[in-house]
Amino acid sequence: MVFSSPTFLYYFLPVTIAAYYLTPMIKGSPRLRNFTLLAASLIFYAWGEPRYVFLMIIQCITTWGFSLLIEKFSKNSAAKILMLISVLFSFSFLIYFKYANFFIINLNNLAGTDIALIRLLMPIGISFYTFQNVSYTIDVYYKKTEAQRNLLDFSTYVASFPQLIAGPIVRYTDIAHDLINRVHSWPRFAMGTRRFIIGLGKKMLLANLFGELVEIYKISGDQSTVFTWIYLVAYTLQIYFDFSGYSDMAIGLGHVFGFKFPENFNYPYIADSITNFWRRWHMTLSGWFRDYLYIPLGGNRVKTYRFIINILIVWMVTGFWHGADWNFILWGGYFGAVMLIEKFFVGKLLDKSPKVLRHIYVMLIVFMSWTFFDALSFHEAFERIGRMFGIGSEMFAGNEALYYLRSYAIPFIIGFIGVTPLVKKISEKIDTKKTLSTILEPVVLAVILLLSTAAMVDGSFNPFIYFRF
Amino acid sequence: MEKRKMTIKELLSVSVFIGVIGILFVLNLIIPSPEVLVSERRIPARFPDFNTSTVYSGEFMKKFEDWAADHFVFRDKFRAINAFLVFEVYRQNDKSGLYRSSNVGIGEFQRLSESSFRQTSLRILRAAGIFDGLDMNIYYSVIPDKSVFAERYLPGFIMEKAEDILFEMFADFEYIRVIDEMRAECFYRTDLHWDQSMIANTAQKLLSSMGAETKLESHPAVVAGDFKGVYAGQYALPLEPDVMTYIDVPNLKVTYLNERSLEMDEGPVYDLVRFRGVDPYDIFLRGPQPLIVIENENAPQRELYMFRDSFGSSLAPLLTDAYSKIVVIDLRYIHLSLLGNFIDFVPGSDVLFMYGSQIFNNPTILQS
Repeated sequence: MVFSSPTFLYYFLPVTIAAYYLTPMIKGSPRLRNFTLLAASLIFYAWGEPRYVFLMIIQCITTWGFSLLIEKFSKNSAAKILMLISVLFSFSFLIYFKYANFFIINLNNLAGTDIALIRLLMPIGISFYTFQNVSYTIDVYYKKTEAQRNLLDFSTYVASFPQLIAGPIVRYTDIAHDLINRVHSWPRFAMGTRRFIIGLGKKMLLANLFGELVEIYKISGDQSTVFTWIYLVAYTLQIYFDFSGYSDMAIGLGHVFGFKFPENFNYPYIADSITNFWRRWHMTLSGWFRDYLYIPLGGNRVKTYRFIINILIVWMVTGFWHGADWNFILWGGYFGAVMLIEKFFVGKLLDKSPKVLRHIYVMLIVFMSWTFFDALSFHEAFERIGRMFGIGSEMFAGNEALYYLRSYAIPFIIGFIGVTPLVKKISEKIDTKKTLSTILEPVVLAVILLLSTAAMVDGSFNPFIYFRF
Repeated sequence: MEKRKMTIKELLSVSVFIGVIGILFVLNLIIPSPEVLVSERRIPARFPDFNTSTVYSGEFMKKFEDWAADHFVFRDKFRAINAFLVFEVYRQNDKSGLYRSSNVGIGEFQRLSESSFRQTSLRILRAAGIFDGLDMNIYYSVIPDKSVFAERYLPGFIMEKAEDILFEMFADFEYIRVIDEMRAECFYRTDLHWDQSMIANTAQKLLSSMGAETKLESHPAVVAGDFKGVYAGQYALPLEPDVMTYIDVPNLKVTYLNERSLEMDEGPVYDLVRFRGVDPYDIFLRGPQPLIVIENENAPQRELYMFRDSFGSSLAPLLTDAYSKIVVIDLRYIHLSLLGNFIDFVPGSDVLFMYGSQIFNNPTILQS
């Protein structure tokens, strides 16, 4: 089930919120409500993946059980073995469902074997909940948190539907307190609904619109330089509004149910370096890799050559997390390489450069990165990069490019404004005028909600990019 | 639940969320579903069967999504709001491929798919194969999509590219180019089809190209009434209707293949009852029909086998001045192999394959 569907918004959500708040708190404990939330989450997951819901339940039970054992044997070496078994067990599902075919294809190509591919769909959200399970296990091992004794509470953490299938990657330590002792309040509920509606608007009113243009470019006969740039700008906006919109909705729903999920985006397209970009884009993922891969590898407290290797490993694995294909690995490696270049060569130059130049540099690197991300092959990615600079494009600007440039002029302007903190700043300014803010905010939210509903009812183009992961 | 008192702004924001979601949830439950989605000319999805098998396979969930979207309360109003957003606020030229143009009205991009054109052409070649050895004069033509007549460039159909493919595929047949006889006004503004009262030049071009010396007579045009075409509903915003006019060609005898009895039953050229139905364009030769025979005893003794789509329904009556018998065949509704059961092909006759871009772009639609 996707958030941006009538089924979710006008059937599942009202019933779930009503059921949740009708479930009593017993002596201030939300345990019964956790049960309601877990039940709703399993229905939510099973809606799209009836069979795979059992897979997730198995992972919840094993991670929970292993972590109790890890804690129990924390004073001897068995804990480490248990931790490794638990982590490997969690990753084994991910490797089997997401990466097995990648390895088989490459093995077949290299060794000339003829191993049959696995014909299974990847369980939605497996990359997200696997990472949550793994981080929890490691945190218990390193005693950053106590193991959760109640399976129901732990399963609520892993499976809670707001963040289940496309993040943010919530660590157990982020919400351990909320799980057993959270506060529900109307102001928090209001904050959550506001955030949810904004996220829904990003998805329905902007991301989908740009997504259509991206698809048009792919089937168009016009592969001119201008149309390639239009495509890249559209994809850049689509992926941001799509993913950050989903994160907003997830964080908003978290508040509605009394949880505080971590932020996942902080206006990445205003970054002035690629290092800075990755502090603002998918923050929970880069934080995860920093804490559970980069630092265990030695981080930056190692010799230079080792540091370079660490950075490249971390970023190539980050790319691999996004997709089981070489272009994703290259995409990750590309960012790692750019960061190394920034650190060792151009960092100081960048610092001295005018802000506008730094911004152009970042966006150029990001544009090119998305060609790898969206392409089905290396060839396609390099072909599009070539066309960006007039190499391989039949013309500079075809009729179709100009048509869509005109057609998307206003959405592009809205998109460009939307990726900056300008709206937030205006909103904060309006907040200082209490009466205006009191009237304006609910009206704007109502308009966004109704327009999003209209787009939802009218349109069928509705994929979430990050569901692939 | 309270920790601090809620501000009025927060109260209003929560009210908006709960109000909109709650009210629409309740209305979706209590307001009965429409039997037909009139503006979209289709039956809404049915509520799916609920049992362990459909749930476990995911079929229930998938069909529920379709049902929930189709049965959403105020569906047309919401669609209109979205159309307003796209066309009036975003000022976009089209909404998911549905364009609006000052001179051709509303239409849908018919993006030319080269592979589909080739595959459809192969099916047409297969159909033409039934005339092997019959010494037929075989002609073909493609009806341009109305977007090619738009005042400003619209993406999609490129006539020259279509013709290049067809020249290559139908090297042995004679091509009749009708685009030069047409203009924007030949098409309804709210529909994909052409207006029968505006295509006399097209009909004349076809007849001349097929060797008919007949000059088309001027028959009276009769107004059937206001007509909102297929795009009016898709567009969702208010639109002025077109006026549907038909050309009253006298002394025609029309028989239709009755798909139940497999007999040819006589019927009208223009079915005014169907004009008031779901698709008013079905007024012409009763719309979707596998096989029709039109006879004109006053016309020269010639036969034409016309393979056509819905455009052909309004065109065929105009060709009757030059043919005593026109057999109108729609391969979307009858398989090629069955034609011999109903038609005795007369050697030396004319054969015309004439389709619009929609057919060429959907290769599996022709049963040949």
